[in-house]
Amino acid sequence: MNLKELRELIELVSEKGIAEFEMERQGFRLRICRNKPSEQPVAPLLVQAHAPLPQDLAVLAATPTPAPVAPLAPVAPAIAVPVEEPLNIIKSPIVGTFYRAPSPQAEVFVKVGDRVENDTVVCIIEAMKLMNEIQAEMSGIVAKIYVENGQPVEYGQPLFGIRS
Amino acid sequence: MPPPSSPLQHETASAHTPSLGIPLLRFDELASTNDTARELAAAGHSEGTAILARRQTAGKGRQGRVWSSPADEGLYLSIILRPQLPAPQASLMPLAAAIAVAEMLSFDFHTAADIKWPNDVRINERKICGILVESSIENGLLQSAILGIGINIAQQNFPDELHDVATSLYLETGQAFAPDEVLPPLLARLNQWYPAALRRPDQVIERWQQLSSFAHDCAVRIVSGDATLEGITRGLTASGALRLELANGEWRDIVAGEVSLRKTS
Repeated sequence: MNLKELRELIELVSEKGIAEFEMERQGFRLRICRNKPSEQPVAPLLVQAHAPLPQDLAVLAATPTPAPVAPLAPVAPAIAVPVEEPLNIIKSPIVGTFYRAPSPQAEVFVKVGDRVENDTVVCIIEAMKLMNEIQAEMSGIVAKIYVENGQPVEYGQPLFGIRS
Repeated sequence: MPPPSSPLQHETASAHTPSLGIPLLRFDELASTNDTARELAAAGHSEGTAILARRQTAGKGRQGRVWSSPADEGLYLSIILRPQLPAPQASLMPLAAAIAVAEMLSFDFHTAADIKWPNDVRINERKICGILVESSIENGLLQSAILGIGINIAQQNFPDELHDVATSLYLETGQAFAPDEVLPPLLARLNQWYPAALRRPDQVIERWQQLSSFAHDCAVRIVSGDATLEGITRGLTASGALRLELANGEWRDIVAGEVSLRKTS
C-alpha cells in the first residue's frame, strides 16, 4: 500500500462515517478508528504493523489532522506509517566480483542516500580481470545496496535498489 | 554443474576489423595511459587509437595498485576498444591480450613466457607484463574498453619489493631492447588475437590453454575477497573462467581472484 492509497482509504472512512476500519494484508495490518462522528470531523489515526517491516520501506509521518483532536484513549502521538514503495533494481549484467570502490583505499562510488543519474558509475564488476564499470541507467536515490564489497555476483543478481 | 553457455555470436560479432595501434599517440609522460585513453574514448576517439607514454607517474594496476613505470624502461600502452558486445561475451579480451604478449615474448624474443590465469605474463615465475582492461557497460553492452599493457623491457634491477616477483626482457635475454622494438610485433599479434576474442572464442580458449602452465592439473590457491580456495586446475570454461577441482571433488568455475601456485609438500 502506498501513501496515496492510504490517504484515499482514510478519506473514504472519514466520508462514510465509518467508526472503525481494520484490514490485514501480507503481514501488514492497518486499523483506522474515528471518534464519535458527530463531535470530531476528523479522527485520530492509528496504524499498526505487527509484522517486521522491511528496512527498505520508507517510513513516513502520518497525515496531519486538519482539526483539533481529542483522542479517546492514550494514543501514540507520532504515528509512523510504513509505505511500501517498490524500488527499481540495478542488476548485474555479468558474473563476477562486486566492488563498491575503484580501489580498497578509495571512496565508494555510491552510498545509501546518494542521488544517481543514468550515467553515474555505481560499482565495478570484475571478471577475468576485465574491470567493468556499471552505470545506474536510471535516476533516483540509492535506497538499498544488496551486495557486500568483494562478494561474487551472478548474472541478473540485484545490486542496488533505487527509489525514483 | 556445467558452466553457463557463452553463446559468442560468431556471425553477428562486428564484421569490422580495426587496426589496433592506429593512430598512435605518443606522450613523454602521463599519469596513466589508461586514464588518458578513457578520456579520449569518452571524447569519441576511434577504436584502435593507442596511447604510448615513455613514463607513467601513476601507472595503474588492478584494484588501485601501481605499475612501476620508469622512463624508457618499459612499454606503457593503452588501446581504445569498442567491441559492441553483450557484456558477458567480452570476457575473453584480457585472455586474448595475454596470448598476444606471450606469443610475442616467446617467438619474437625467444623467451619462455607463461601465462598465469587470467592474464599475467611471466618468465621463470616472475612477472614481465601486466594487463588491465577497464570497460564501461551501458544497456548490457560493452560500450568501450581500455586495454592497458605494461611490459618490463630494460630494467636491470627492480626495487626491493619487486625484486623477487618481477623480471624484464633485459634480465631474461641479456639484450637491451627499446620499447619501440617491442611495439610493432606486439601490435601485430594484438591485431591477430583481438578479432579472435570477438569472433573465435574457441581459438582463444585453446591457445590460452596451450600457452599456460596453469591451465591443467596445476595445484593452486585462489584468493578472492575474503575467500580462499585450493584445488587442481581443470582447464578453462568457454567464457575463460578457470575450472577448479576442490579436495572434496566439487568443481568450481573461478571468474575473479588472485591465483598462486600451491607447493605440494
